[in-house]
Amino acid sequence: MVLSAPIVRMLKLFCWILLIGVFFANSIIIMLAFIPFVFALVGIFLKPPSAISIERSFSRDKVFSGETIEARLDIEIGSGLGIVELSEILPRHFEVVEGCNYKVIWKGLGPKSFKMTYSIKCTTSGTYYIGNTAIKINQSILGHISSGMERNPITLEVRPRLFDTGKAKSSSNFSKIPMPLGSLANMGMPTLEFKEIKQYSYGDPFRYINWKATARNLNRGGYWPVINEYEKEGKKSVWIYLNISKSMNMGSNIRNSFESGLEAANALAEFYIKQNLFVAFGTYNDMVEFIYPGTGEKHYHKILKLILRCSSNIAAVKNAGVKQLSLKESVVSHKKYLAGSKPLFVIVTRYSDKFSEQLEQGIDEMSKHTVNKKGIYQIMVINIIGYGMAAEATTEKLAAQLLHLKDKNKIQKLRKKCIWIDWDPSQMSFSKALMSQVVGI
Amino acid sequence: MTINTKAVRIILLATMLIASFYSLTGTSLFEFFANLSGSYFNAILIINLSAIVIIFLTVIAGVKLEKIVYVISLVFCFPAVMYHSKINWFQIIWGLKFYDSHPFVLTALTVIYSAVGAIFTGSTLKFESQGDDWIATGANKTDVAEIFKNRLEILIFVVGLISVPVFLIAILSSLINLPYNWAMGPVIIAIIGALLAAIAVYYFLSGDQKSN
Repeated sequence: MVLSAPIVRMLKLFCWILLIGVFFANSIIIMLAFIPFVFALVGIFLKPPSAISIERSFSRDKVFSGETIEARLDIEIGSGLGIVELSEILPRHFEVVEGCNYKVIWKGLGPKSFKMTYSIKCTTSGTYYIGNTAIKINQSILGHISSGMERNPITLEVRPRLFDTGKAKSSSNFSKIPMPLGSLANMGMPTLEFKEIKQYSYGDPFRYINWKATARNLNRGGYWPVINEYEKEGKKSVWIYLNISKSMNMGSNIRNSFESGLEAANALAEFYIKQNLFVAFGTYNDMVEFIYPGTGEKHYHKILKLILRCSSNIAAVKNAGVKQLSLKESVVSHKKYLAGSKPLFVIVTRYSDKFSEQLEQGIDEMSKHTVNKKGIYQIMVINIIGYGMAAEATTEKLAAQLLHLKDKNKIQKLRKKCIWIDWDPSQMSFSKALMSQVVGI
Repeated sequence: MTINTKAVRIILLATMLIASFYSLTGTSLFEFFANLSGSYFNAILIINLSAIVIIFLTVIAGVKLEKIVYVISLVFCFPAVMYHSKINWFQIIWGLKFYDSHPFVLTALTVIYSAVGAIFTGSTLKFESQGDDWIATGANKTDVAEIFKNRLEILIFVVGLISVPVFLIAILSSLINLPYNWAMGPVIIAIIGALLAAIAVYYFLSGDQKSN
């Protein structure tokens, strides 16, 4: 029989006092020795709680970040007498919003069963394993006896939030969301979708000559035929780049600009794929991944899988010795997928002085491969202002505003080159930020 | 019925201190202090003032009041307990002879009362601090109150289980004066003690070997 630590401690005390009593042949000390002995006997005969069974259930196994799920535990303690401490181990990004994931319970003589319910808010996207319970057994009077862990984890997928679909679907808002202007292919089979009228050049099919327009052109003095140009077969494409670096980690474990970045990237990817566009997704800086342009539900899941993978610890990725690429280098390395297309580029980042030059270089590189309309390239930068998420007190919020103003002055130059959207997740939703700031596209 | 454990603790500690001081007054050590200070009253004053100063200093140093009070109570009992030793090593080695004018039963009861009181106060304090920790971690207050109540009931039962037989043995042995005058008494005690010690040593050694 293996005795627990408090019982052994009591027996040791009994032996010591008894030895002293015998050493002095003192009946009073010998009588005293029996006090810890009785405690040890009580510890041996009053068995601590055992035969604990836990049945766990969650209201859902797939949620969007920010949503809550309810966990329910049905616990049964078969035998023993004493105290049981139960603590559900939750990933650090989870927040208990209702109830408690910790319970202390007195187990009397008979079997005991009880329920434990709590709601958790999943604030950071990723794949989590939840359902480990730490169990601590305490003997009724001697205290802590043993600790253990009940492992029965389930997989919980927390997806980044999508657009507020109600808002995005309304026609007035829909037109505000930037769409790629350039077609996928400069070569390839033409469709029936009219693109523009252009002058005939060698090799153009005769059937595309617009005779009416050519006649009008002759009147104006032009003798060269004019032809209709049609969109080439293929789809317009959007390239989304997400900055994965420590500079994105502004805010708390629960709410930070990186998580908001994932939300923006996911919402845009889903939105553009639903518009039947080709979407490419890439990351740069501390983690370099790329998913070539594609479309359809399957492709979206591919992107989502990568987004969920990104949400794992950024520091771990950096320490693992993974190669690092700047935005420019990342665009250059995937240039081959750009052939013949003029995509809309989306950069999801948080402006910081450290990466401002790198961001500018990236925008310059992208501008070589996209369309320029009214002096602005088809490059959209989603700048996540994370200062607000790290601020709680009024003075901190004021400081956050000051820091944002300081950044605002520095980004004036970059604003002229692209569609710049400032998004403060602590103030508004992504769809609201997008729709209120995109002007004249 | 709710038990005001704080009040019980105060009463226990106060009576422990008074009882143990009373047992000290019957010893040769107290006589020595009385001779040194000139009168019994001076000796009482000096000893109690010293105890108060020690309590004050140790409480300032961060030791719990309850702990130092029961340590002082046991120290006060020490000379009287030593008088009832069959083998007085202090006398054999240093020539220190203890004397106790109080009867055996009174000393035994005082010491046992102090020890049981110390266990009770220490345990209730531990239960309370553990309960506070649980509440701070997020446990339900009613659950913690239920646990405290049940633990206290078991503690009272165990303390009773210890006190009643030990008190009875002390009283009965003083009535028949068994441990003091019976010649075979110390021998039997020594044999029992040696056997128990041997069992304990065997158990711990075998436990160590298993863990290795």
